[in-house]
Parts: sequence; structure tokens; C-alpha cells
Amino acid sequence: MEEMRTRYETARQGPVSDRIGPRRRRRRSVVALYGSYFVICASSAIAATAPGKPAQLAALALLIAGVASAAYGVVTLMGRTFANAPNIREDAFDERQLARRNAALSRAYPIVGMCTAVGLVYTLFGDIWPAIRNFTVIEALFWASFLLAISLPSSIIAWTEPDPLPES
Amino acid sequence: MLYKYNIHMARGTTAADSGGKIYNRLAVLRAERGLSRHELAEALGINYQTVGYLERGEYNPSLELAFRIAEYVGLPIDAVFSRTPFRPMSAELYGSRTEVGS
Repeated sequence: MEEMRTRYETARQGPVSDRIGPRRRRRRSVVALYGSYFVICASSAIAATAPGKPAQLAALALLIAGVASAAYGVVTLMGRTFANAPNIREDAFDERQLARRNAALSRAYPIVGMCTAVGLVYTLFGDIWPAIRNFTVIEALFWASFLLAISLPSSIIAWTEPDPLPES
Repeated sequence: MLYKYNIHMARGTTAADSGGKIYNRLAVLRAERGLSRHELAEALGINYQTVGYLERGEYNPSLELAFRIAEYVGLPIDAVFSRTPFRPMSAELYGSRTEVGS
């Protein structure tokens, strides 16, 4: 027992905060993070296709909103809390938290793999049928895969973890 | 299937995952000793949220953790954990005198 307690105490020397906040706020952060992706994609599409200054201004406004939303999502989700467990060393957590963390990783990786596969298939078909090749789409799929790879496991925990129990 | 069941029990699982809830007297034992969740968690080397989940039966501890808890409270493991609901301690100690209407 002493060894186990020492292990957790050692891990807690780099403390992981218990303050994960209410689930409602965490879900808002997840929506902000993934919503920013679509906002930035819309901004790129408008900038690329719509002529004229109003369209360019609209694209710029959307881009700023998207970046701000992404920053909010990243700052609120990617801290040193249990909500960001997949990005923290496993010895900072007890068995229940590890189980939740591993379940989130198991659920996330097939989705990330699927998104990457879609991108690869699209690129392959673009090589065979150049008419459908669109580098903007390829870029969007690449950034989607990247975003999911770095954030989806944490987002799953942030979305599903119940509100913290009251201290007693 | 038995192998899979034993693996789940060894690692600790949610009550839903294991297909069966493990009942415990953790809340009562903690109250008897005047411990907060934080204090008990600190003694066991786990997170205080996990203590709460254990008490509510929403998380089944691993064998190792179950034994550690039993050792800490100084009771046999089957006095702390059970696969069937525990009778109230008053009923166990005083029997039918505590039945309603008696």
C-alpha cells in the first residue's frame, strides 16, 4: 500500500487539477473548438470564391471569429485537468480515471483513422480523376484529421464526464 | 468468457461494463471514522471523485483496490463489498426488532 500511495503522490507532484468545471461549460468548449473549424472553412471558401470587398471582409470576420473560438476551446480544454487526461502522463491518474481515459482513446482513434482514410481516398481518386481534385478540400481534410488527432480523446472526456461530485 | 470477466474484475470497471453492480459499505464506514472523501482518497492513493463513484456503486473497484480498502478499514473484504445489497447494519445487529411495525 505504501508503494501505491508513493506512486500517486509522486505523480501528483506535477499536480493535475480536480477543477474540471461543470459539464455544460466543457461542452461549450468542445462546440467552440469544433465549430471554429467549420467557421474557418467557411471563411476560406468565401475568400476563395466570392469576389468583392464585402465578401472579403466577411471572410476576414469569420476567420477572426473562428480563431477566437478555437483559442477559447483550446485554452479551456487543454489544461492540466482530468478533462485533458489523454494528453497527460498516465501515472497522474488512479485506476478509474485511467479506465475512462483509455475508453476515450479507444473511441477516438477509429474516428481519427476514418477521417484520415477519407482524405487519403480522396487524394487517390484525385490522382486517378484529376477533375475532382481540389486542394482546398484536401487541405480541409488534413486539418480535420490533425484537429481530431490532437483533441478528440480529450473532447470525449470533456463531453461525457459527469459534473464533479461535491466534496464531503 | 470467464477469462474476459476476470480481466474486467482485475482492472476495475464501471458497473454497466461488468454487467453487475458491486455493493459496498464505504459511505457508512467513512462516516463511522469521520473521514471526508478527500481524506479517504488520500489514504488510499486515489482521486476523491473515485471515492464518490465507489460509494454510489457507479464504479467497481479492481481486486487490488478492494483489498486495499478492506485493509485500510480493518475489515474482511466481504464485510466491505458484496455482489448482493447489504442489509442495514441495524437490521444485522438487532434483527427483527428493527422491522417496521415490530
